[in-house]
Amino acid sequence: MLEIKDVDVYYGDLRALTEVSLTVNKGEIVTLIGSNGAGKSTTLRTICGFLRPASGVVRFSGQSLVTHAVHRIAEMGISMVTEEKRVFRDMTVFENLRLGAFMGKARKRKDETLDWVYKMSPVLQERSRQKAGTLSGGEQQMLLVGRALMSQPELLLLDEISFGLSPLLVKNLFKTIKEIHMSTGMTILLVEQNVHMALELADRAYVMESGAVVAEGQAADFLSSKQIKDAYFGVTTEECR
Amino acid sequence: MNETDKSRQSFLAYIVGGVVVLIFILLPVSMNVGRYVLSLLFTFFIYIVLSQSWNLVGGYTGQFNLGLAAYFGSGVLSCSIFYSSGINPILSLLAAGFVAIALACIIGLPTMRLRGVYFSIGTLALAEALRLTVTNLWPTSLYVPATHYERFTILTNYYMALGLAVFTIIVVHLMVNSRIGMALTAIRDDEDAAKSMGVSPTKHKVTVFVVSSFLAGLAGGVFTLFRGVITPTFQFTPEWTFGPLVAACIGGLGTIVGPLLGSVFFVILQEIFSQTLGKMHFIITGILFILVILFLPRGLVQSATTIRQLFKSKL
Amino acid sequence: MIAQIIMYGVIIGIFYALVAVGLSLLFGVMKYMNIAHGSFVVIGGYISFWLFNLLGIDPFLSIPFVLVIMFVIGLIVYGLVFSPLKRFAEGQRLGNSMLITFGLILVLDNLVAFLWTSDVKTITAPYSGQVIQLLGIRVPFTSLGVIGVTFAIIGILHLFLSRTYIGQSIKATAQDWEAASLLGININRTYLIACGISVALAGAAGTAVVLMYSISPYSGLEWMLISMIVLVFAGLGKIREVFLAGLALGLLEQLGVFLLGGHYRAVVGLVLFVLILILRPQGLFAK
Ligand SMILES: Nc1ncnc2c1ncn2[C@@H]1O[C@H](COP(=O)(O)OP(=O)(O)OP(=O)(O)O)[C@@H](O)[C@H]1O
Ligand SMILES: [Mg+2]
Repeated sequence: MLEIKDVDVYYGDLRALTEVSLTVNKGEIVTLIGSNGAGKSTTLRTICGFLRPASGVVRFSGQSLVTHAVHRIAEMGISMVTEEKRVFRDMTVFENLRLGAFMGKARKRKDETLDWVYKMSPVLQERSRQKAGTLSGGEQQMLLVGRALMSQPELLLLDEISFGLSPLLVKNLFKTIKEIHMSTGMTILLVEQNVHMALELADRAYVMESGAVVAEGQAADFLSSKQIKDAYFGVTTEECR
Repeated sequence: MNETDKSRQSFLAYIVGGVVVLIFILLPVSMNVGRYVLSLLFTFFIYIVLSQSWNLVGGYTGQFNLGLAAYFGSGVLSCSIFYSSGINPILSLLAAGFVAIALACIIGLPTMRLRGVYFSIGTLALAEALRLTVTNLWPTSLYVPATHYERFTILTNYYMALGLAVFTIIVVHLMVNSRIGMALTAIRDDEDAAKSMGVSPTKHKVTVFVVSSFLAGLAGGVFTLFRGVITPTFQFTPEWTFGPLVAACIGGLGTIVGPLLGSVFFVILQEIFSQTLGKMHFIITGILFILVILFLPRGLVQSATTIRQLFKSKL
Repeated sequence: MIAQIIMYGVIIGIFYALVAVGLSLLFGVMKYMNIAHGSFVVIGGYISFWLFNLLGIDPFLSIPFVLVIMFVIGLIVYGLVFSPLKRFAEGQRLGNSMLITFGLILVLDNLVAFLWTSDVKTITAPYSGQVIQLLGIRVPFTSLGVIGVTFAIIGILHLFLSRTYIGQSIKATAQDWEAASLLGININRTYLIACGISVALAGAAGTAVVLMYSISPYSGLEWMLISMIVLVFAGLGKIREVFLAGLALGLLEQLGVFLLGGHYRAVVGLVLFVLILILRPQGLFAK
């Protein structure tokens, strides 16, 4: 469904991605892991059209994305929750969700989707009249996921949605993601610092290091591989503290 | 570009500058150029002073002062007041410069705390407040003593303006190439980084702001001695800010040659179009200005460099 | 006496809010400073003047026409002037928007002078001289009309921004254009519409100006400064606070007129403005 091939991306003169290739098949959950500054967010921002690859191919359902504007790519069915917490703070929770269904196709079915999102996370319904900026960190994260779902994407990109949340909240969030995947079969590309949970959730995984993909394989294999454990679990658990 | 290349170039610039000044000095004595050309050149020199003055703050610190008219106007007004109260004209002229400095300290310094757009609209607002106040206090024209016209011919005025223009260029050149200039560039490029390196942005900005105001005030004084009769309101209008600003931007911000080029361009354009189109020339100037900002953000100087580089690479 | 100061302050303050609301919208959405805002106010005034003189359309009724014409002008201005600004790095856009709209002032003001000559123009409608007794104070009929128009326009704007998808997309873009574009919102189109609305609002304010005061080609600067003061009082880009800010400016100015005389009306506002700018740059009403 999503195919990235030999992509190079620069920030000015600085090369952030080197010949990155990865694929995400329909209905899969794929996770992208790696240490800080490895280029995970850069990869996602390239898919969404915020960054233009200097060379390489980004294709979604057979169509090239590299010349499209961000909103065009969104219209093609890709939705992203960014690393920075970006709710529209001065708007209510309901208004945030409604904007999620801005695009024509999703707008028509927005009431159904809204019910579904509210069912998935009742707290959003309770707070629907509240300004989004007043929500707690965990609630804002839920709202962001909910807003992304409102556009009924075919591919959902999630960038470190567990960042800064308590372990219990992270667990709930991952449970919700799993439910979403089970009920809709939605394709998900997940960037995570929380390597263990990500690998448990995902079907496949890619490991990035200094702007390049250094390993790929079944998530289950990574979970049992000692090497990966030493290299990444160690780092992340230390960083979490 | 290496050091010898650089020093050779600046040496060349001094030579060219000296020759140009010499031509301007000799022009009125060697040729009968007439009043029209002399007053046109006078306007040109005043524009050089004002656009250099504006560029000192706008180009080198990146703070766009939209209140230059206040300093020019106060120079005009104070020179006229001192002169008509019996003080020697040259002393009045110098005093005009210091009045502008005083004004910069009283109303200018508070605005130095503002950054970016806030600074611009703050300076514009204060200049307008001053204009309205001056209009209330001096609603009519002011006159210089009758003896003035015997002492000051168009030629005297011409040389005074030329002298001030040369003085301005030297002052700006010295400032820009001193430690202050380097600090300014650092501040413009990244104020916070400069601060962390121990450069005090406020101190340096205040210094150039005061010098800039002083030059504008002197320009005002020279203008008074040229005109004789002045109407204060007209010398405080934003046009006196906008003209120099446009000249500096068209020529090229943050360079000395820029405002010079821009002034030539602006004065000629204004002269050609105002004879054929009246005030319509501002429309053309405005469009040109917009185009330069959009497509030549570093002004005519930039295009000159580009052309020279093209030329060089061909060789 | 006090009652009169307050009454006039309120009337003029509400009118100021109308003058400034377009500028605030533009800044809030695009983060551009439009110094030519006052020139658009003047152009709107001239259009009303024209419609009144040539076609005999009542100025209050001409407002819808003014809104439409000015909206189109706003679209053109966006395409020609603001859209190319995207070439610059984000940090340079604000400063350059100021310079460019400054060039726009030169173009617009002199174009206006060319089209309508430099005379001072005003509209004398049949009801122009009439006054209404309000709490014992004589209030011009036109001022009350302008207040009604202001409430109507700002009310409609509020409904538009909070109830329609386009309005919501404008608000979202103002808060965070990256997040908005990820939702499929076309940022360029949003900017285009916001610019059209901003200029249309300036035009409507122009109708009020020509009814309550008078206009001339180079008076745009005055209205720009008033808008700027209101903008800074309200806090940059805040639309709801514009109302309070306009009221504050109107009342303070009337107080200034009472203490110093009418000649210093604008000076009071400008000096207060710079003080607020220095002491409370986040605006008077920001929390
Ligand atoms: N806007 C930018 N300008 C310049 N360099 C950038 C920019 N954003 C990221 N980088 C650099 O690109 C590299 C990759 O960054 P990226 O944000 O993709 O990493 P990441 O894997 O998402 O890290 P993290 O886990 O910390 O989010 C880093 O070296 C970073 O410093
Ligand atoms: Mg990241």
